[in-house]
Amino acid sequence: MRIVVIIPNAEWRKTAGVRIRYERIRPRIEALGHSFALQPIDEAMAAPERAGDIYLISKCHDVRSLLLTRRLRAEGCAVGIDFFDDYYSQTQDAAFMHLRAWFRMMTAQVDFGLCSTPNMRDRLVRLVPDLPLLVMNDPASGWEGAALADRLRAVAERTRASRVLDIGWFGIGDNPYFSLGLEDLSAFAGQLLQCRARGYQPRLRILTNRRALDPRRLEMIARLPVPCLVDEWTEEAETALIADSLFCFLPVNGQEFSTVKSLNRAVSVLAGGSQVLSTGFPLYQTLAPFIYRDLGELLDHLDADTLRVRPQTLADLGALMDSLGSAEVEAKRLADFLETLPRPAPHDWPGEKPVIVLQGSRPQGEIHKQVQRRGYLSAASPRTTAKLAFDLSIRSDPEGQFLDVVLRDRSVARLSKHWRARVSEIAPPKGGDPQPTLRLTRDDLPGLRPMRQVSAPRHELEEQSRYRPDMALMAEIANLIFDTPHLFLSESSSPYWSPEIEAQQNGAAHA
Amino acid sequence: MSTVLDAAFDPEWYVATYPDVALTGMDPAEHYQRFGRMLGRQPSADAPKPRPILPHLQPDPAPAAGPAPAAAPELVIPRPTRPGPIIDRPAGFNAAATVPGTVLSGLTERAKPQSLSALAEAPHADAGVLVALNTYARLFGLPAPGRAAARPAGSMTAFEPFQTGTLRIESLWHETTGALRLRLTGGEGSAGWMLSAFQAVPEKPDQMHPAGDTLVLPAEGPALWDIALVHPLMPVLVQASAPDGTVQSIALLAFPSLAPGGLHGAEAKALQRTANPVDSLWALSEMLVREKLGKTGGNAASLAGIRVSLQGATGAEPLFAAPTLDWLDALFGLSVAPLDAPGQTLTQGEAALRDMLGERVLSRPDDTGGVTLSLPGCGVPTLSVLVSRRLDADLPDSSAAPYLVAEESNLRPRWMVTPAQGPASDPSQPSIGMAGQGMATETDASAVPIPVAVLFRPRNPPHPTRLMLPTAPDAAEKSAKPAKIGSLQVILTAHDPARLEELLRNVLAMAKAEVTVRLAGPDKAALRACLDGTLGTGGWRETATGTDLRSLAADSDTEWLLTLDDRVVPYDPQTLSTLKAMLDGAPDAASASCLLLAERVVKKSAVISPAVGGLFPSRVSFSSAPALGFNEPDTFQPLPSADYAVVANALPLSLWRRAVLADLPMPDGSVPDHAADIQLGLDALDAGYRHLCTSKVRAGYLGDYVRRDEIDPVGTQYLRPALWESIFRRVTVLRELF
Repeated sequence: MRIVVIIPNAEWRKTAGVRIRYERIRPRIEALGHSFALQPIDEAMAAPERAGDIYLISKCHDVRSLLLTRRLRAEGCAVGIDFFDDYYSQTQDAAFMHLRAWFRMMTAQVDFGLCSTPNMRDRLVRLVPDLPLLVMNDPASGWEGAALADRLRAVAERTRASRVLDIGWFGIGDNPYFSLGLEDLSAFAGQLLQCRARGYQPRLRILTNRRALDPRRLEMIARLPVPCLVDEWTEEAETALIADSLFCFLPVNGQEFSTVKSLNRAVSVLAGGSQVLSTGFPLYQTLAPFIYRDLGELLDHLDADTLRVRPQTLADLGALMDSLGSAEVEAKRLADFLETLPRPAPHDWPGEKPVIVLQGSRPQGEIHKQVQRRGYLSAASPRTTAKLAFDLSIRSDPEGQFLDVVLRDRSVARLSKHWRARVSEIAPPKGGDPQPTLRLTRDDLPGLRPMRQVSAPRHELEEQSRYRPDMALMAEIANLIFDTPHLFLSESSSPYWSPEIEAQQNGAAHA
Repeated sequence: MSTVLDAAFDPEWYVATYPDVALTGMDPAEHYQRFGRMLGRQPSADAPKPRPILPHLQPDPAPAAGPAPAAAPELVIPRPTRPGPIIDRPAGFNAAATVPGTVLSGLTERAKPQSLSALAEAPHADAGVLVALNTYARLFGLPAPGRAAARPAGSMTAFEPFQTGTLRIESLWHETTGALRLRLTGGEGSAGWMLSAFQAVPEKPDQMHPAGDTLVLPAEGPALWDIALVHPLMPVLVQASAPDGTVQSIALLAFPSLAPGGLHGAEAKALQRTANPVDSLWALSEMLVREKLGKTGGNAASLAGIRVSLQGATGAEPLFAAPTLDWLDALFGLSVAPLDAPGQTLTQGEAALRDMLGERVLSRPDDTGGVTLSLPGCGVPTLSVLVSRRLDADLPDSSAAPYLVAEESNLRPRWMVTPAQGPASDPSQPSIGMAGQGMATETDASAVPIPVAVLFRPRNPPHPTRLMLPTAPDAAEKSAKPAKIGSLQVILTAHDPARLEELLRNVLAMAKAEVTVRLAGPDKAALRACLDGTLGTGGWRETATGTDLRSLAADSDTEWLLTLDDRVVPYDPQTLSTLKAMLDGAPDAASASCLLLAERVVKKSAVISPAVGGLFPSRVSFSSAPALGFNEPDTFQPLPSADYAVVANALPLSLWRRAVLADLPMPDGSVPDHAADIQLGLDALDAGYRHLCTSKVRAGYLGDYVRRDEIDPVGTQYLRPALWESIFRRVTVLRELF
């Protein structure tokens, strides 16, 4: 098998997610006789020939993954999605509408899915019950048992002697959409107070990202019930923090996004030689023999020198880590799973019909260019503000008597014959060179009405009001003049949603 | 200030004597010049102390010609009893490892807890000091620790020495969620006294742990003292001892969470009855303790159980924290059980909470029956409801009850919300009732006189997308198609022809409508042309801007009447159908509206914020004649996702039962345009109807919405004080807690 992971861009290769999830299994997959490569999506879009026969889409939430999937499957490749985060099951949340639309359209096409936790698998099974799924644990890195034992012993002895509890917290402190990170720390930190009744003084050290330290979160930190020191997160600082802390406090709230996160943070702490105290949602249940849910129990064990992670239990911890995230095991399971997948039958796509990508609210120039380079048409909707060389755009008569469809030569060539004959050169009302234009009237399009351009400054309330009817009318125009093309919507922001185009795309995928 | 350094300055002596100098990283001489001299520090061992330079505290020095002044008194700075890390750090201490506020020395010995009896057995000045200990014991049902428990008249908490004696607590607040800071003043009589605090954990209320360090009171000036809490909610005992160890007084802070910054700080703010918040706090504490111990109220009902809705709860809310649940159990014998119906679909997080609560409830005897408080996940019960023995035993199944709103991140008090009296129907708001009474009707609903919960809300509105659409359109599309409204009369106020066409297209997609237009914009010809183009000539009718809605309603025979302003953007197709559904579900409701969001341009960017969600009674005045005020507060924080009753709905968007409007009597005199909606609202209330508003769906408003806040806008002749009670009972009353 030639396995290709499609990533958002070349920079993505350097991220921790790629390093932990893909680079650790790559040599093991190759040892099994398969190839395993990462390819940025722009390269995959432009490549004249495909590089693999199994494709895994990773964190590419835009129209290019839809286009690529359709093309690759037409060539007989199996395509799947690696689901990292759950942006899909919170169906009431307007902030993720574009991601849910992407999810619905992608899962209608793809052959399989991957995820990293059983909780995420359960969530996906509810959403797409027929999609073959594999839980591929994030492989753990190695550890040095002897050094770990010494460190565990020393930290426990120091704590008992000084009665100072060194507590660590690390991670991304903020999220634009969810309350987590430092908010979780603030919400659950009251439970740390009980150590005072046991004669211990808590001392909390926080490592987080600089962006998270806005006034609100700084106030939150200042109000934490235990004294704390804040520093900027780095990988090295995290390692040092874990090594120097008696335990790391990993509270987890129960929102849908948080309950399917990977076990990485707890695994890092345990492998780094510290205890884990996790309150709130039992995310780390799989690691239960080594996780504390109650500080009182942890202190009991500290006093009795029977902490869960101690030199005598390292062998058991190692065995558990191996069962959960051995690179060899995970690579073998992935290869076995992929080999059993049926491959789609090759077919002619797109055939004679043009592929039109209708640009939504905030189009990205790169996507527009990659679409055009592939020979597809990039069409501007009235809800588009970008000034790009679109293959199709709309000029609306303020009185609503006609609509001018402004075309480029390459799009004129894809019009059906009847409409091509109606194209004429019309100059823009505000001056400029005449452009190939197709003027539509109510006789052509009974639903014709004025479509207003985006105002400057942009009014979101008006945009929300206009988006759906305008997109429906654009789809009607495209279907009319291109004779039901392959129509895709490129939308990267919420709450903009066009159920009419989504239905057309899904219908085409099933056909 | 002189820049010439004293000749006697000894840098080595200076640094050694004042260890904080080294921590500043400054040159000792520069430090002395800039700060040391001002602080009255000696430049060397042999030099006399200079007078501190404190222009606001010290009079000018005597004239040079006069006799030499006596040595200036040493600046009195309250000293911590335990050396802090800056002044007296121990040898070998690693400053890089310092965490601000942490006491690192002297902790090698584990502090042992003391029993209540041990505290009582300590030598004390008189038996009165034992009152607090005995009161504490009674709160938890423990044996009285002191034999001679003489009780000063009128006090159960023995706080008088700390209120009026030589030692006073001037203020207290939660410096952090784990530290209660006291500002104390005392006279010479208390100089050298030692203050200690004790607190127990809920599992062992008779074992008192030292809460932080002991403070030695200075001879002069205020002292700030942090009590390092062992538990965020458990009572705190504060003990004052003379230098010879005799206990002079003990005070009981029965409910430390009432202090500002605490979980119940909003309750103390809302119930503040005296100008001095500390006096008010003591009075409230005293009242709560008395109520808890059953000294008032006799045989009336008490809270028997707490139910919490898990919908949307994440477990990060204060109610689900183990310290809160343990405290409720230990002090009040109350458990928290899930409110949601069995079989209801829960998320993984909600199910985990249900299981956690279930385990705790299983460990307790069955508490079904009796008065039950129902809460949303973001709420905690108030102390008032927890201790109350005066709850109405005739409460129906579930009554709406007053509650408080505080900010989620810092617990700052914001609102008191008193819903209209009646049965509760919205799990996003607290309610109280007798379990097993069956369905309540409005007539048997009783008023609940106390705030029953504090709800914690985010300080800021959510992400703009979520603010615009609390329910995502793709979810709404799956649940139900917007219902057609049926026959509709639209009274449209038109300003801008550019907006009219789109607005009418949106509305006419919902209903077949008669359109009557008030032309309010400057270019009336353009407005007329637009209306002709959109509705056809003769497809609409024009009316004067001041025409009373009642007469317009009387001229029509439609079922519904919609007042609409063309600055409104009905961007959510669910909005109008939701308003209709609200009226369908409430036959006594005359009108319905929703939260309007204003979009305005700030620095070339559009900013969306809550604008108006109905009109509320704001205040009463008797300055000249009895008058009632009305306002349009920012309802989003107190009522972010709720249906609620208002005095009136604002006319830019309100859906009416046309016949109700047509039947209202015409006003006696002219009513100013800006108060027309208030007049209509009051008339309908007087006729026995209600007005409903919702924040569960929203519409937009382009431009700035100027919120009204007016006293008596419809004339004194209308509002008789006798009517006010009736109005207040049937509408939501919002009070901002400043």
